[in-house]
Amino acid sequence: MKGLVFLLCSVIALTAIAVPCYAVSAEERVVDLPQDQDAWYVSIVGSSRSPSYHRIVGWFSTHDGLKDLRSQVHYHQVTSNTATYRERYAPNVKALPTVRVQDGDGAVIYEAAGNELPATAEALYADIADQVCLARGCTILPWRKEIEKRLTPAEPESNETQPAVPFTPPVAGPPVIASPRAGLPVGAGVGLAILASVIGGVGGLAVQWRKTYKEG
Amino acid sequence: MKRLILILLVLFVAGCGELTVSRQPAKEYPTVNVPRELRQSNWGGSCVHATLVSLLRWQGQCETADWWRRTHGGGEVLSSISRQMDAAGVRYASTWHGDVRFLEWACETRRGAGISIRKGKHMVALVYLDDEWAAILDNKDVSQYRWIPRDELIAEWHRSKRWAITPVYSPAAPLPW
Repeated sequence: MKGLVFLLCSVIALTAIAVPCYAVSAEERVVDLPQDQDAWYVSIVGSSRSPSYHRIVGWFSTHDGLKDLRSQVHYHQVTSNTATYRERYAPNVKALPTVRVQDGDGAVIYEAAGNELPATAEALYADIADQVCLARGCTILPWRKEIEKRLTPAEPESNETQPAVPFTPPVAGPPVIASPRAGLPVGAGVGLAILASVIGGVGGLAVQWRKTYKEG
Repeated sequence: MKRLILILLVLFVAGCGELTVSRQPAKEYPTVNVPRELRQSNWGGSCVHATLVSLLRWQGQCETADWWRRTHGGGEVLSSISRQMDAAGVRYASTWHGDVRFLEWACETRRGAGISIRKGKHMVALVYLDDEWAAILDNKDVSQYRWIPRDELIAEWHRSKRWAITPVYSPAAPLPW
Protein backbone atom coordinates (compact mmCIF):
# COMPACT_ATOMS: atom_id res chain seq x y z
CA MET A 1 0.00 0.00 0.00
CA LYS A 2 2.89 2.34 0.79
CA GLY A 3 4.15 1.70 -2.73
CA LEU A 4 0.79 2.68 -4.16
CA VAL A 5 0.72 5.94 -2.18
CA PHE A 6 4.31 6.74 -3.15
CA LEU A 7 3.61 6.08 -6.79
CA LEU A 8 0.44 8.14 -6.75
CA CYS A 9 2.16 11.08 -5.10
CA SER A 10 5.03 10.84 -7.57
CA VAL A 11 2.63 10.94 -10.49
CA ILE A 12 0.84 13.97 -9.05
CA ALA A 13 4.16 15.75 -8.51
CA LEU A 14 5.34 14.91 -12.02
CA THR A 15 2.06 16.14 -13.43
CA ALA A 16 2.42 19.45 -11.59
CA ILE A 17 5.92 19.83 -13.02
CA ALA A 18 4.67 19.00 -16.49
CA VAL A 19 1.94 21.65 -16.38
CA PRO A 20 4.26 24.61 -17.02
CA CYS A 21 5.55 22.85 -20.12
CA TYR A 22 2.02 22.62 -21.42
CA ALA A 23 1.46 26.19 -20.38
CA VAL A 24 4.43 27.47 -22.35
CA SER A 25 2.88 26.16 -25.51
CA ALA A 26 -0.39 27.76 -24.42
CA GLU A 27 1.14 31.27 -24.37
CA GLU A 28 0.07 31.77 -27.93
CA ARG A 29 -3.51 30.83 -27.14
CA VAL A 30 -5.92 33.56 -28.17
CA VAL A 31 -9.20 34.51 -26.62
CA ASP A 32 -11.93 35.53 -28.99
CA LEU A 33 -13.91 38.57 -28.03
CA PRO A 34 -17.44 39.05 -29.34
CA GLN A 35 -18.57 40.90 -32.49
CA ASP A 36 -19.52 44.57 -32.58
CA GLN A 37 -22.94 44.39 -30.95
CA ASP A 38 -21.35 42.29 -28.25
CA ALA A 39 -18.12 44.27 -28.20
CA TRP A 40 -16.49 44.61 -24.80
CA TYR A 41 -15.88 47.86 -22.99
CA VAL A 42 -12.83 49.19 -21.22
CA SER A 43 -13.30 52.22 -18.99
CA ILE A 44 -10.48 54.15 -17.34
CA VAL A 45 -12.09 56.34 -14.73
CA GLY A 46 -10.34 58.97 -12.66
CA SER A 47 -9.69 62.55 -11.82
CA SER A 48 -8.11 64.60 -14.58
CA ARG A 49 -5.73 65.98 -11.92
CA SER A 50 -4.59 62.56 -10.76
CA PRO A 51 -1.10 61.46 -11.86
CA SER A 52 -2.03 57.82 -11.35
CA TYR A 53 -5.02 58.22 -13.70
CA HIS A 54 -2.78 59.73 -16.37
CA ARG A 55 -0.19 57.01 -15.83
CA ILE A 56 -2.77 54.29 -16.47
CA VAL A 57 -4.17 56.13 -19.47
CA GLY A 58 -0.61 56.32 -20.77
CA TRP A 59 -0.19 52.57 -20.44
CA PHE A 60 -3.00 52.10 -22.95
CA SER A 61 -0.97 54.07 -25.46
CA THR A 62 2.47 52.66 -24.75
CA HIS A 63 2.13 49.03 -23.68
CA ASP A 64 1.74 46.79 -26.72
CA GLY A 65 -0.74 44.42 -25.11
CA LEU A 66 -2.94 47.15 -23.67
CA LYS A 67 -2.78 49.08 -26.95
CA ASP A 68 -3.91 45.96 -28.77
CA LEU A 69 -6.73 45.40 -26.29
CA ARG A 70 -7.81 49.01 -26.60
CA SER A 71 -8.05 48.70 -30.38
CA GLN A 72 -10.47 45.81 -30.04
CA VAL A 73 -12.96 47.18 -27.54
CA HIS A 74 -15.08 50.25 -26.91
CA TYR A 75 -12.50 52.25 -24.97
CA HIS A 76 -13.49 55.14 -22.73
CA GLN A 77 -11.56 57.57 -20.60
CA VAL A 78 -13.97 59.04 -18.09
CA THR A 79 -12.93 61.91 -15.88
CA SER A 80 -14.71 62.67 -12.65
CA ASN A 81 -15.79 66.15 -13.71
CA THR A 82 -18.10 64.92 -16.48
CA ALA A 83 -21.81 64.17 -16.64
CA THR A 84 -21.04 60.66 -17.82
CA TYR A 85 -19.08 60.04 -14.63
CA ARG A 86 -21.68 61.56 -12.35
CA GLU A 87 -24.55 59.57 -13.82
CA ARG A 88 -22.99 56.29 -14.91
CA TYR A 89 -19.87 55.73 -12.81
CA ALA A 90 -20.06 57.64 -9.51
CA PRO A 91 -22.73 55.30 -8.09
CA ASN A 92 -20.76 52.16 -8.84
CA VAL A 93 -16.99 52.76 -8.61
CA LYS A 94 -15.22 51.91 -5.37
CA ALA A 95 -12.33 54.34 -5.73
CA LEU A 96 -10.43 56.38 -8.28
CA PRO A 97 -8.78 55.65 -10.54
CA THR A 98 -10.67 52.60 -11.71
CA VAL A 99 -9.99 50.25 -14.60
CA ARG A 100 -13.07 48.30 -15.60
CA VAL A 101 -13.52 45.72 -18.34
CA GLN A 102 -17.09 44.72 -19.22
CA ASP A 103 -18.55 42.32 -21.71
CA GLY A 104 -21.22 43.43 -24.16
CA ASP A 105 -24.00 42.86 -21.63
CA GLY A 106 -22.29 44.98 -19.01
CA ALA A 107 -21.00 42.12 -16.84
CA VAL A 108 -17.80 43.20 -15.13
CA ILE A 109 -15.00 40.92 -16.26
CA TYR A 110 -12.22 42.82 -14.51
CA GLU A 111 -12.17 45.77 -12.20
CA ALA A 112 -9.45 47.27 -10.04
CA ALA A 113 -9.61 50.56 -8.22
CA GLY A 114 -7.38 52.79 -6.12
CA ASN A 115 -4.70 50.85 -4.28
CA GLU A 116 -5.81 47.55 -5.82
CA LEU A 117 -4.51 48.66 -9.20
CA PRO A 118 -1.39 46.85 -10.41
CA ALA A 119 1.81 48.87 -10.25
CA THR A 120 2.91 48.19 -13.82
CA ALA A 121 1.37 48.03 -17.27
CA GLU A 122 2.59 44.44 -17.59
CA ALA A 123 0.85 43.41 -14.39
CA LEU A 124 -2.38 45.17 -15.39
CA TYR A 125 -2.38 43.49 -18.78
CA ALA A 126 -1.67 40.12 -17.22
CA ASP A 127 -4.49 40.54 -14.69
CA ILE A 128 -6.95 41.56 -17.41
CA ALA A 129 -5.84 38.68 -19.62
CA ASP A 130 -6.36 36.28 -16.71
CA GLN A 131 -9.91 37.48 -16.14
CA VAL A 132 -10.72 37.44 -19.86
CA CYS A 133 -9.37 33.91 -19.91
CA LEU A 134 -11.52 32.92 -16.93
CA ALA A 135 -14.57 34.47 -18.50
CA ARG A 136 -13.97 32.31 -21.54
CA GLY A 137 -13.74 29.12 -19.50
CA CYS A 138 -10.05 28.53 -18.99
CA THR A 139 -8.13 28.91 -15.77
CA ILE A 140 -4.78 29.96 -14.35
CA LEU A 141 -3.08 27.81 -11.75
CA PRO A 142 -3.06 29.87 -8.54
CA TRP A 143 0.48 28.97 -7.53
CA ARG A 144 1.79 30.02 -10.93
CA LYS A 145 -0.08 33.33 -10.77
CA GLU A 146 1.57 34.14 -7.44
CA ILE A 147 5.04 33.25 -8.70
CA GLU A 148 4.67 35.49 -11.74
CA LYS A 149 3.37 38.35 -9.63
CA ARG A 150 6.50 38.15 -7.50
CA LEU A 151 8.71 38.06 -10.57
CA THR A 152 7.13 41.16 -12.13
CA PRO A 153 9.37 44.14 -11.35
CA ALA A 154 7.80 47.37 -10.15
CA GLU A 155 7.77 50.20 -12.66
CA PRO A 156 9.27 53.51 -11.57
CA GLU A 157 6.88 56.42 -11.11
CA SER A 158 6.47 58.50 -14.24
CA ASN A 159 5.21 62.04 -14.70
CA GLU A 160 4.44 61.64 -18.37
CA THR A 161 1.42 63.55 -19.54
CA GLN A 162 -1.71 62.05 -20.97
CA PRO A 163 -1.21 61.20 -24.63
CA ALA A 164 -3.69 62.26 -27.27
CA VAL A 165 -6.40 59.68 -27.79
CA PRO A 166 -7.13 58.92 -31.43
CA PHE A 167 -10.47 57.45 -32.35
CA THR A 168 -10.54 53.69 -32.17
CA PRO A 169 -12.72 52.25 -34.91
CA PRO A 170 -15.45 49.91 -33.70
CA VAL A 171 -14.73 46.23 -33.67
CA ALA A 172 -15.70 44.64 -36.97
CA GLY A 173 -14.89 41.06 -36.18
CA PRO A 174 -13.87 38.98 -33.23
CA PRO A 175 -10.72 40.59 -31.80
CA VAL A 176 -8.23 38.63 -29.75
CA ILE A 177 -6.19 39.15 -26.61
CA ALA A 178 -3.13 37.01 -26.04
CA SER A 179 -2.49 35.99 -22.47
CA PRO A 180 1.05 36.70 -21.32
CA ARG A 181 0.69 34.17 -18.53
CA ALA A 182 0.42 30.47 -18.62
CA GLY A 183 -3.10 29.22 -18.70
CA LEU A 184 -4.68 25.81 -18.56
CA PRO A 185 -8.09 24.94 -19.93
CA VAL A 186 -10.38 23.42 -17.30
CA GLY A 187 -10.79 20.28 -19.41
CA ALA A 188 -7.03 19.81 -19.60
CA GLY A 189 -6.67 20.09 -15.82
CA VAL A 190 -9.36 17.49 -15.21
CA GLY A 191 -7.86 15.27 -17.91
CA LEU A 192 -4.44 15.44 -16.28
CA ALA A 193 -5.95 14.55 -12.90
CA ILE A 194 -7.74 11.54 -14.38
CA LEU A 195 -4.57 10.50 -16.17
CA ALA A 196 -2.63 10.79 -12.91
CA SER A 197 -5.24 8.66 -11.15
CA VAL A 198 -5.15 5.97 -13.81
CA ILE A 199 -1.36 5.85 -13.88
CA GLY A 200 -1.23 5.83 -10.10
CA GLY A 201 -3.80 3.07 -9.88
CA VAL A 202 -2.12 0.86 -12.46
CA GLY A 203 1.27 1.47 -10.87
CA GLY A 204 -0.09 0.59 -7.44
CA LEU A 205 -1.67 -2.58 -8.73
CA ALA A 206 1.61 -3.57 -10.35
CA VAL A 207 3.51 -3.04 -7.08
CA GLN A 208 0.95 -5.00 -5.11
CA TRP A 209 0.91 -7.77 -7.71
CA ARG A 210 4.66 -8.01 -7.57
CA LYS A 211 4.59 -8.10 -3.75
CA THR A 212 1.89 -10.75 -3.71
CA TYR A 213 3.00 -13.05 -6.47
CA LYS A 214 6.69 -12.43 -7.12
CA GLU A 215 8.07 -11.79 -3.65
CA GLY A 216 5.76 -14.39 -2.06
CA MET B 1 -5.47 5.53 3.48
CA LYS B 2 -7.92 5.28 0.60
CA ARG B 3 -9.75 8.32 1.95
CA LEU B 4 -6.49 10.24 2.07
CA ILE B 5 -5.82 9.42 -1.55
CA LEU B 6 -9.34 10.42 -2.52
CA ILE B 7 -9.04 13.72 -0.67
CA LEU B 8 -5.68 14.38 -2.35
CA LEU B 9 -7.22 13.75 -5.74
CA VAL B 10 -10.21 15.95 -5.04
CA LEU B 11 -7.96 18.76 -3.81
CA PHE B 12 -5.78 18.39 -6.88
CA VAL B 13 -8.72 18.64 -9.25
CA ALA B 14 -10.38 21.45 -7.27
CA GLY B 15 -7.15 23.46 -7.27
CA CYS B 16 -7.07 23.52 -11.06
CA GLY B 17 -10.49 24.97 -11.63
CA GLU B 18 -12.57 27.84 -10.38
CA LEU B 19 -16.29 27.82 -9.94
CA THR B 20 -18.27 29.77 -12.47
CA VAL B 21 -21.31 31.50 -11.04
CA SER B 22 -23.93 32.32 -13.61
CA ARG B 23 -25.42 35.78 -13.30
CA GLN B 24 -28.27 37.47 -15.05
CA PRO B 25 -27.72 40.86 -16.67
CA ALA B 26 -29.70 43.77 -15.31
CA LYS B 27 -31.02 45.28 -18.54
CA GLU B 28 -30.90 49.01 -18.96
CA TYR B 29 -33.95 50.64 -20.55
CA PRO B 30 -33.63 52.27 -22.93
CA THR B 31 -30.38 50.80 -24.18
CA VAL B 32 -29.17 54.22 -25.28
CA ASN B 33 -29.67 55.89 -21.93
CA VAL B 34 -28.16 59.31 -22.53
CA PRO B 35 -27.28 61.07 -19.26
CA ARG B 36 -29.69 63.91 -18.62
CA GLU B 37 -26.97 66.59 -18.80
CA LEU B 38 -25.80 65.33 -22.18
CA ARG B 39 -29.19 65.50 -23.87
CA GLN B 40 -29.28 68.41 -26.28
CA SER B 41 -32.48 70.42 -26.53
CA ASN B 42 -33.60 71.85 -29.84
CA TRP B 43 -32.39 75.35 -30.61
CA GLY B 44 -34.18 77.33 -33.30
CA GLY B 45 -35.44 74.45 -35.45
CA SER B 46 -32.21 72.47 -35.30
CA CYS B 47 -33.74 69.08 -34.55
CA VAL B 48 -31.24 67.20 -36.72
CA HIS B 49 -28.28 68.92 -35.10
CA ALA B 50 -29.68 68.52 -31.59
CA THR B 51 -30.23 64.81 -32.16
CA LEU B 52 -26.72 64.33 -33.52
CA VAL B 53 -25.19 66.31 -30.64
CA SER B 54 -26.91 64.04 -28.11
CA LEU B 55 -25.77 60.92 -29.95
CA LEU B 56 -22.20 62.21 -30.32
CA ARG B 57 -22.05 62.83 -26.57
CA TRP B 58 -23.45 59.36 -25.86
CA GLN B 59 -20.73 57.94 -28.08
CA GLY B 60 -17.98 59.68 -26.14
CA GLN B 61 -17.40 62.54 -28.59
CA CYS B 62 -18.24 65.39 -26.24
CA GLU B 63 -15.72 67.85 -27.64
CA THR B 64 -16.92 67.31 -31.19
CA ALA B 65 -20.52 67.55 -29.99
CA ASP B 66 -19.93 70.84 -28.20
CA TRP B 67 -18.13 72.23 -31.21
CA TRP B 68 -21.01 71.09 -33.44
CA ARG B 69 -23.50 72.77 -31.13
CA ARG B 70 -21.58 76.06 -31.38
CA THR B 71 -21.02 76.04 -35.12
CA HIS B 72 -24.04 74.37 -36.71
CA GLY B 73 -27.75 75.05 -36.77
CA GLY B 74 -30.91 75.36 -38.81
CA GLY B 75 -33.03 72.82 -40.65
CA GLU B 76 -31.36 70.03 -42.60
CA VAL B 77 -32.12 67.19 -44.98
CA LEU B 78 -30.05 64.02 -45.31
CA SER B 79 -27.90 65.34 -48.16
CA SER B 80 -27.04 68.60 -46.41
CA ILE B 81 -26.26 67.03 -43.03
CA SER B 82 -24.19 64.35 -44.75
CA ARG B 83 -22.11 67.03 -46.48
CA GLN B 84 -21.49 68.77 -43.17
CA MET B 85 -20.49 65.57 -41.43
CA ASP B 86 -18.18 64.65 -44.30
CA ALA B 87 -16.60 68.11 -44.15
CA ALA B 88 -16.09 67.83 -40.40
CA GLY B 89 -14.64 64.34 -40.66
CA VAL B 90 -17.35 62.85 -38.47
CA ARG B 91 -17.86 59.13 -38.95
CA TYR B 92 -21.48 58.26 -39.55
CA ALA B 93 -23.87 55.78 -41.11
CA SER B 94 -27.22 56.58 -42.69
CA THR B 95 -30.10 55.22 -44.72
CA TRP B 96 -32.77 56.83 -46.81
CA HIS B 97 -34.62 53.66 -47.83
CA GLY B 98 -36.55 53.02 -44.63
CA ASP B 99 -34.55 49.87 -43.98
CA VAL B 100 -35.60 48.71 -40.52
CA ARG B 101 -32.41 46.65 -40.24
CA PHE B 102 -30.51 49.90 -39.95
CA LEU B 103 -32.55 50.86 -36.89
CA GLU B 104 -32.10 47.40 -35.40
CA TRP B 105 -28.35 47.57 -35.96
CA ALA B 106 -28.15 51.03 -34.42
CA CYS B 107 -29.95 49.89 -31.28
CA GLU B 108 -28.26 46.51 -31.02
CA THR B 109 -24.89 48.21 -31.12
CA ARG B 110 -26.16 50.71 -28.51
CA ARG B 111 -25.40 53.71 -30.72
CA GLY B 112 -28.96 54.88 -31.35
CA ALA B 113 -29.96 56.82 -34.47
CA GLY B 114 -31.64 60.00 -35.56
CA ILE B 115 -34.87 59.17 -37.40
CA SER B 116 -37.23 61.37 -39.37
CA ILE B 117 -40.84 61.70 -38.20
CA ARG B 118 -43.83 63.96 -38.84
CA LYS B 119 -43.62 63.71 -42.63
CA GLY B 120 -39.91 64.39 -42.49
CA LYS B 121 -40.28 67.74 -40.71
CA HIS B 122 -38.78 66.60 -37.42
CA MET B 123 -35.98 64.36 -36.20
CA VAL B 124 -35.73 62.50 -32.90
CA ALA B 125 -33.25 60.02 -31.48
CA LEU B 126 -34.28 56.39 -31.52
CA VAL B 127 -32.88 55.03 -28.27
CA TYR B 128 -34.47 51.59 -28.06
CA LEU B 129 -36.03 49.04 -30.39
CA ASP B 130 -37.10 45.47 -29.78
CA ASP B 131 -39.78 43.19 -31.21
CA GLU B 132 -42.59 45.10 -29.52
CA TRP B 133 -41.42 48.48 -28.37
CA ALA B 134 -39.42 51.49 -29.41
CA ALA B 135 -38.28 54.50 -27.40
CA ILE B 136 -37.38 57.95 -28.63
CA LEU B 137 -35.71 60.99 -27.14
CA ASP B 138 -37.36 64.08 -28.58
CA ASN B 139 -35.14 67.16 -28.56
CA LYS B 140 -38.26 69.27 -27.92
CA ASP B 141 -38.59 67.61 -24.49
CA VAL B 142 -35.41 65.87 -23.36
CA SER B 143 -36.66 65.32 -19.83
CA GLN B 144 -38.12 61.91 -20.65
CA TYR B 145 -38.17 59.07 -23.15
CA ARG B 146 -41.32 58.32 -25.12
CA TRP B 147 -42.24 54.65 -25.51
CA ILE B 148 -44.15 53.69 -28.65
CA PRO B 149 -45.20 50.32 -30.08
CA ARG B 150 -42.58 49.22 -32.59
CA ASP B 151 -45.00 48.90 -35.51
CA GLU B 152 -46.39 52.36 -34.86
CA LEU B 153 -42.94 53.94 -34.83
CA ILE B 154 -41.82 52.19 -38.01
CA ALA B 155 -45.04 53.16 -39.79
CA GLU B 156 -44.50 56.77 -38.75
CA TRP B 157 -40.90 56.64 -39.97
CA HIS B 158 -41.99 55.17 -43.32
CA ARG B 159 -44.48 58.02 -43.74
CA SER B 160 -41.74 60.53 -42.97
CA LYS B 161 -39.10 60.30 -45.73
CA ARG B 162 -37.64 57.17 -44.12
CA TRP B 163 -34.18 58.48 -43.34
CA ALA B 164 -31.98 57.77 -40.41
CA ILE B 165 -28.44 58.71 -39.44
CA THR B 166 -26.05 58.04 -36.60
CA PRO B 167 -22.44 58.82 -35.71
CA VAL B 168 -20.29 55.70 -35.54
CA TYR B 169 -18.10 55.80 -32.45
CA SER B 170 -17.99 53.88 -29.20
CA PRO B 171 -21.22 53.99 -27.22
CA ALA B 172 -21.03 54.54 -23.47
CA ALA B 173 -20.42 51.39 -21.47
CA PRO B 174 -23.48 49.61 -20.10
CA LEU B 175 -24.16 49.93 -16.39
CA PRO B 176 -22.09 47.27 -14.60
CA TRP B 177 -23.53 44.17 -12.93
